[in-house]
Amino acid sequence: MNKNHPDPRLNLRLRAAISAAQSRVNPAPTAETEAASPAPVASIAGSDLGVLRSTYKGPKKLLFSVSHMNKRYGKTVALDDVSLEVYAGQICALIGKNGAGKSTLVESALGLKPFDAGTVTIGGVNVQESPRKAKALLGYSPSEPLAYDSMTGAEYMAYIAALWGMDESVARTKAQQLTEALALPNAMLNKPFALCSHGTQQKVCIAASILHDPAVLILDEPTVGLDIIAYRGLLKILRSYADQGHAVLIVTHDMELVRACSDAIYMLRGEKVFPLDPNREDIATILEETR
Amino acid sequence: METLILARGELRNWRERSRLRPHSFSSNLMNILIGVILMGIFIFIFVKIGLEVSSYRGVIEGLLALYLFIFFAVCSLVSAVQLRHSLFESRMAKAPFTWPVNKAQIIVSKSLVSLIKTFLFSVVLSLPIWITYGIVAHSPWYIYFLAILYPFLISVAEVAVGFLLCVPIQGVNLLLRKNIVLQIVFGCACALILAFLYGEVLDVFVKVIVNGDLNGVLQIYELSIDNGWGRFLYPVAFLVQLFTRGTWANIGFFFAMVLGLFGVGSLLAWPTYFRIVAQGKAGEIKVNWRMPKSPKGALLSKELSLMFRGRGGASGLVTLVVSLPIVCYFVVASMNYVFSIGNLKFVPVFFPMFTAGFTGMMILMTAASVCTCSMDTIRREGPKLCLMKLAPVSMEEQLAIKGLVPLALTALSFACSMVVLGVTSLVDWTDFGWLLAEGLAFLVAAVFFELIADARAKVKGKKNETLWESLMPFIFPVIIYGITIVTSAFLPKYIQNYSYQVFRNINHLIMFVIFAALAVGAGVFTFKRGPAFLEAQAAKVEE
Repeated sequence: MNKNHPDPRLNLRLRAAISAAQSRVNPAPTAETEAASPAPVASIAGSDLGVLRSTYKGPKKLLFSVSHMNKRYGKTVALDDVSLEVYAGQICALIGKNGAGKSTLVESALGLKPFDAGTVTIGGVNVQESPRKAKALLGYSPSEPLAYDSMTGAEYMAYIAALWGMDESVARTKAQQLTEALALPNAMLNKPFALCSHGTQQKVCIAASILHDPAVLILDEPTVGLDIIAYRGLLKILRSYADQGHAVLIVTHDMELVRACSDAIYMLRGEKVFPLDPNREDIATILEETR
Repeated sequence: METLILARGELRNWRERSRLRPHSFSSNLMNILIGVILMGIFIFIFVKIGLEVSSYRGVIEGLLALYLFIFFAVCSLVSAVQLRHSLFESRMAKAPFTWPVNKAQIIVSKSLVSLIKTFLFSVVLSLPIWITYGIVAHSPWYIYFLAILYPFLISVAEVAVGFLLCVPIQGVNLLLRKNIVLQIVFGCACALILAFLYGEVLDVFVKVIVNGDLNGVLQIYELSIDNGWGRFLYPVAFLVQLFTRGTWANIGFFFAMVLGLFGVGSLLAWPTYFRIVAQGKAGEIKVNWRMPKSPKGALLSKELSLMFRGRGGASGLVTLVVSLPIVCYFVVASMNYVFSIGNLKFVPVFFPMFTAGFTGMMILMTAASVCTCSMDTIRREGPKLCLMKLAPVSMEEQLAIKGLVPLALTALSFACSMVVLGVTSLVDWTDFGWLLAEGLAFLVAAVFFELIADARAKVKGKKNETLWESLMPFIFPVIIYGITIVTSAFLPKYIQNYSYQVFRNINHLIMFVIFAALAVGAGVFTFKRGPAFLEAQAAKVEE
């Protein structure tokens, strides 16, 4: 459970939301809590994307955790005693203003950037101790779409599938399903990555990050550049993926996405991370404040 | 007015593109130096042959026509490649259609820009030759003024040929892009043609330098512009005859030929351009899904993709791998020839290891050039090395595979060089065996060294290695074989028969041990320190 205390700098409404979240014992929604409490984000009106609720009935299992992470850039503190947890079946959103340190937190947790103190586990495997084992359980799509420029989208996805030791026919079927859901046409899959538009690159990277069925999926700004069909497709993919018992962490500014599918929300503010309660009725206003 | 604005935009785009290319000061200097040396060699041969044949009527003009014809062919090809880019490749190819200009203005502006670019190339290539001709042939003063007029006229012909060739070149380019096997075949063909052309030029050069043997060179006396085959080098021959003989009727033939070429070229190029720009793709497209069998296979396929589909594609590297052994053979054969006659034949007598040392040096230097050209795989990784770090494969394994592909290519080029030299008896079997062992040890060392230099360039965010790092693989063979050649001079002459063999074997053994030690040292450093160094440095860069 998160040990952070509300920051006195936050306004009253925000503090109330944080307190409510901290008082909750189970971050992951279960059948009981769903029946007793209002549906997560269901009370938020105004979204035409609909709300995709969790149907996960499996055991509560911690799949991704960051404990007491500290990160400094010289004398500047970027992350101060940050902790967060994502459970099986859960879609967790990490929000915060520009420059709050969301991408830094994720990149440090994945071993892409060094950090000063703390522990990170992926699927119960310590990232610092067994990075290779941990990476095998991870799917990650960075904020800027990243793949090899000379490879086509199809080649990149085949490369990822082979690197994670997938069976060819399984990989092919899964790739087909993902590209259909993300409205990625075949012509674009045969085009070198460098020549694709930003939206297509984003779709390829998202598909490649999910393709090998990782236990933990981390998407940094996944909706940037996506058309509405791909956006809806992504929502469905994420929901069904989490419902299969995987953990999903989304780093985003997109509040429509947060409202539509997140089961837990963490907000990064003033170098610290705070859990927000997605069931509160005034969460929409709080979320707007983080834009 | 709009036409001029369009042309100015095209020229500005061309200039900006040239600026964006990663050219360091040293590479610019090297390019200029190579250009000046090549031109110097051309002029040297021209003067040397010109002075010999100046008494024969029309031969020096024939030689001038031959030179100018070669430059005409080069400029036409450059013009065709530039037009292909401007019409079919450039991001700006479609842009004029969204502007308030008509097709005629687009055609005129693109033709004008192509003419300006080709004119610049023609001036640089043809003026020095015309001036040299003027001096050697003791021509009247007006020939120098006509020489200025020549690039204006010939660049029109070059652009006309460019129009004619740009569509077929685009077709070949599209075909090659789709098929890597075709790329390799094309690269091999280019390499063989280039290597044999180089061999012919080198042969002429060696014969001219060593003994002025001109009778065997290109049957030079049949080149006359008056009654030899020089008069058939169209369209250059028209202008050469016009400028040197004053045959003004030729200007009519020249313009008729150029207008004809322009007409046919335009009929081919412009409709293709307008059709390609306007058309869209339709129909069912299948995904090309080819999955490697294992993680190692995936890494290997990625390396091949980075290497063969990056800058220059497969044909560039294949050309290098195939042509260098042949170039190596020609250089070694020429040097053996030069040092086997005249005063220079005493050099191998004073330095018994000269031939073996020089051959070894040449083989390793040609192999090193393949190595340096193929070793930028870490720099070709995405920004921040993110994809390498996220792969569930250890960094050591990834580095090993990164080194494996360039090592295989370099070893292939090296093996070809050795086979060519062995089959042609330019090295005896003792040297062959030793050079093979030394070469392989050196190549492993060079690949590890280049891997480290590549990683350093990547983490420093540089597009090129430093000049020192680029030269290191060439400097090592020069130093080590140079020392061997020099020390062999101290071998007493009375032990040259039986003991010379022992001395030679000891020398080779020492060189092998040095290269093997370098390979082991570089290997240990790469695998012990490389991954941590790469990760730590990359993290620093990110921050």
